[in-house]
Amino acid sequence: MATSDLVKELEALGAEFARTAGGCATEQDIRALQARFLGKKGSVSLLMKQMGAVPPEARRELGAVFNRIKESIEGEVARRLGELENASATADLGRSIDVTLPGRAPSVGRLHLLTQIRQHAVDVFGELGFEVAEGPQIDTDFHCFEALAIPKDHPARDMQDTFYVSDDVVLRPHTSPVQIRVMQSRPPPVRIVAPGVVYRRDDDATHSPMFMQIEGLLVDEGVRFSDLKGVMLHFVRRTFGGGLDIRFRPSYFPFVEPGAEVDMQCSFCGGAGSSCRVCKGTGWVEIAGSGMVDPEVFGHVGYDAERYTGFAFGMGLERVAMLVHGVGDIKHFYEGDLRFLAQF
Amino acid sequence: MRALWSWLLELCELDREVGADEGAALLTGAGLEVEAIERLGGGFSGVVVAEVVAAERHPRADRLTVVDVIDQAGGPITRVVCGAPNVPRPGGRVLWARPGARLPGGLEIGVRPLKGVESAGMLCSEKELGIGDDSGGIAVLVGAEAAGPPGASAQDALHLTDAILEISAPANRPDTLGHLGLARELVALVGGRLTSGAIDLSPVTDPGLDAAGLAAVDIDDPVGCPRYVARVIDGVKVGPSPGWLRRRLQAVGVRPISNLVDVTNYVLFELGHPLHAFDHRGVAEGHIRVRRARAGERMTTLDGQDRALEPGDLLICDARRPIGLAGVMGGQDSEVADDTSRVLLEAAAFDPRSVRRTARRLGLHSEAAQRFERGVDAEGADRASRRAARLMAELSGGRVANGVIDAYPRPPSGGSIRLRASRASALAGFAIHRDEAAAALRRLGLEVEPDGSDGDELRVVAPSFRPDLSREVDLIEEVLRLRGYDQLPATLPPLAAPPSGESDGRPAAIRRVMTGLGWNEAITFGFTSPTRIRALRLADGDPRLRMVALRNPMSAEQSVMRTTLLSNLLAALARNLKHDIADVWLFEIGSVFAPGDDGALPDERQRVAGIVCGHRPGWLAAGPEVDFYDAKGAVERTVAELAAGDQSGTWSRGLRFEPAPDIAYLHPGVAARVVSPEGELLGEVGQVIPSVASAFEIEPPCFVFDLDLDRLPRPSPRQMRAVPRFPAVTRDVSLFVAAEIPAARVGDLIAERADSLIEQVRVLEEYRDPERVPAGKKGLLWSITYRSSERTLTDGEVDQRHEALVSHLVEKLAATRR
Repeated sequence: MATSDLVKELEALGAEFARTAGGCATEQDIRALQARFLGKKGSVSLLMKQMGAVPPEARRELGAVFNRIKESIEGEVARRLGELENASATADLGRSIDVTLPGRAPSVGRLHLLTQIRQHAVDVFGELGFEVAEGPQIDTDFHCFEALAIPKDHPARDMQDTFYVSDDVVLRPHTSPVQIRVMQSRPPPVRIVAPGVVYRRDDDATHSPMFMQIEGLLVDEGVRFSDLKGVMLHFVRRTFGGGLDIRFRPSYFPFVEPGAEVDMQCSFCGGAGSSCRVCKGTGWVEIAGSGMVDPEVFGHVGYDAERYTGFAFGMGLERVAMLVHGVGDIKHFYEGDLRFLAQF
Repeated sequence: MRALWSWLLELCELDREVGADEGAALLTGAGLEVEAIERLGGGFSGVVVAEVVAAERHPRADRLTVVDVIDQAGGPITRVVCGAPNVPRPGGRVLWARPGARLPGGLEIGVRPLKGVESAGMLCSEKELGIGDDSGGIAVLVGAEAAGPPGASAQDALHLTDAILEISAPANRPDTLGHLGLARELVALVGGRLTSGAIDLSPVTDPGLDAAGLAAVDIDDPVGCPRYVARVIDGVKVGPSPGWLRRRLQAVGVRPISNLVDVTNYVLFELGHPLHAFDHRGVAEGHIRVRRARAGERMTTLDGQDRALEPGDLLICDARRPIGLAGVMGGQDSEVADDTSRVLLEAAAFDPRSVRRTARRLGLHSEAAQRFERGVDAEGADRASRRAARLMAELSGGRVANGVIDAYPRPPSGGSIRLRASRASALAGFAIHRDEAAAALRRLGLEVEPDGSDGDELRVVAPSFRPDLSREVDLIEEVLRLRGYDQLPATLPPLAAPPSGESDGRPAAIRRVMTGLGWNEAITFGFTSPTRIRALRLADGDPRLRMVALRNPMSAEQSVMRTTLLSNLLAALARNLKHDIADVWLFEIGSVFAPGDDGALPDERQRVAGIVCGHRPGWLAAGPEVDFYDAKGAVERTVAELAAGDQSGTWSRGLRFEPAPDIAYLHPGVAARVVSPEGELLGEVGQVIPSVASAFEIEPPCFVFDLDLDRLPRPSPRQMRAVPRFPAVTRDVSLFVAAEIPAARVGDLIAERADSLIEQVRVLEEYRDPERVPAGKKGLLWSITYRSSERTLTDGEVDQRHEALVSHLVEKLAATRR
């Protein structure tokens, strides 16, 4: 075939491709069409196999034409594919879903409210340099009472109606035995908080036979009663926010002297409510028992009561949780009821 | 204790007028917490004293009386119909609720016809006004109360503008268990003086009758009874007490009985000193002996109970037998009766511990016992005796025998206490001057003398009624108390070196992982019921059946310390199911307890346990039902997280889960022991066997795990591994193996090869359906990830290694390739 015929033929194939390509609706059709022209046995490829028969001087021209046709076919394929892609992307944009159906939210487990409050308390006292100490829940009469200046038959034992395991072993009725254990184990200075569960024979809306306390103890040279007040105030401000004030009232705990009940302004009514159910209209709620460590306690642990002074405090964590979160009944904390637990 | 405000005011003269509310606030601020203020006569209004001018029977009803009353002398007459049997004669004074009056409970009084006669208001009983128990008739005024003019309000006429303060006295302040002690506090707080002086018995003494001839006292045990004061009052006539006394007793919560008994109670509340009145006839030979009980002795107390005594009980005996439990309760045989004519009056002090032991053992917490338990001032015994003797004589027409028997073997010699103002200032955190301290202590009735040469010290003698004051620090508290704790500044202690930071990070890490996995934290009681633990059907000899029992539990539900967290978690699950919470994911970290070795404290260990039931979270609808692998996955993930920083390599080999068909509370085919890579038993995981679940009223399948927290790895900082620079290549292995071969066996075989290029090995599928798997076999699809940290692996290289691995598995497991 003459070179010029070959050129014509190529041009015709190019034109044919252009005509046919317009009818292709899918990527598959376009790829098939491309193969029909440019594949190994495609019409353009077959034509080019005749190149060998073309005189060398014409090959250059023919090659140029071939390349042009091939490029135009490939260009057209790419253009059509692009068009199809755009069309499908555009078609997808026409799709819509119901955005008001709920999102797919994996369920979240909750820390127990008391765990949260305990951690908060530990953090707040940690800011003031108190470290955590712990002790056994079942402890000796000595650690729970004797060393805290509460001998047997002391009327103050009525203040903690205690669960007994034996004559000398009790479920600790307060976290104070941890004080004793820590002081027995090292010399001053001591600056600890001891969070933990304690047990008392008491059961109503505000008392649970098991509950959680945090105990604080600071012993060093020159520790003052006013330092105790500052530490308590720090805790109240960091926990309840605002400008809530605290007050100390004289009170009796055998292991401290002077002893003080710590009241804070009612966080519910801000200290103003005459009909507030939380503070019963007094404007104040009790949050801790506290005082300066009694010299007799220092005697039991071998500290020099003339050289060292110290303060101790104990606070019910449920009470704090109840005030911060409005929990009405202490029983909720220990029932394992998800209707309560999952709220916090 | 209940204190009557007017009674307090009678015992002191304050420098300024103080009302009950302010008084209550002052006492509370000083540490005598007033828990409630109850107003007498506050419950009604519009009730006045009226004079009866005429009374006649109702024309149409025998039980009713038509009463004409006036409420001012010569004033208009009003007609009231009354149903009471005791309408007084003309001239008598009654309490008239006028129309418009309001009675306790809000009842408003009007004018209404009664059987045809119009009644303007009503005549009231004490009970209707809430001022007494007497409902047998209307209140008829007598004595001083009837002396005033008609028209006065009932409150004024009966001194009902009074208040009762409910005071919680600290355990170390027995002196505040009487009005006198509280009055002393008011004087110290407000300024003023006590009004009580010496009590003169001479006007009521019968000089011809000698006490020493009528009574004798021997104290066998001066520790148990440091002092015993006896007086004899002769010629008494038993009868009701006058209204003022009865009303005071009622106000403080004591039921009036008779003049003699009422006087002992009255003095108890006034001075805080309990007394006992014996009928002299019931005291053989008039001879009192105070001694300890002997084994096997019995006596009948005045409540009619025959009581077995124990050695150690302190007894009041006569010449022959016990006639009273010292400080706790009198005996029946020596009780004063209607015909008592001669009284032996006891005013004593007893050892608090002894009274407390006896009172607690017998459950007798009388007003007297409560005071003796806290310590009654021996020095005050004679005063109490005089006060009561005089009142008895006055109220019963008797005469006091001349003299007193006062057995007081060892009167205390009070030492003095040193107080340094400098020490007080240092302890308080603000300056306290010596003069200020001295003034405060004097106001409390303490003897104070300056001491030392530097103007710093005081020498203080505390009165016998303040046993709580024996050391310098006790005095410092008194000074601060009177100054007012509200004066205390708030300071902060100086910054200290940071804490050592040594703490067990496991509980916090476990909580973080478990909540992240969607489990909720529970905290349950440390005690439980033995039934709940036994419901787990643990095998005989299981250590969890050895429980620490409480001696005095509040209920059987809380009678032993838990030996496992599972019993309370199962109960919590049951509670949730009962309330239609079907999907429950709960975990708890807590202590379990075992009896200690001989004499040692119980063994306390921390465990972490979980329970899961229901469905996994889905979208819109619930997800698939939970199964064993939810519980196991929590265990694996938790331990993996704890061990992630472990540098020893111990934990990187992973946990082992060994089939455990022998754990009684778990399904035999769905249970495993959790074992550390070192072979240490960490705990158990599995499905609760239905028979156990149903004992807890749990129907749906539930799965638990229970681990020994102390054996879990301690979290330590994770060390970074290089982020891979070269790509990974993944190849699958699909095999049929004998059905009983556990997947872990395949994993072990792969691990044994220790191929350093194997980065990860995962099971993708386990299937047993007969259409796909030959009989007796199961299909396992594994995915192996290969990676080198030094170069990109070629396909050929990986193919070769993988083929070697698969051949190894086929050979070792007698597996076939799929």
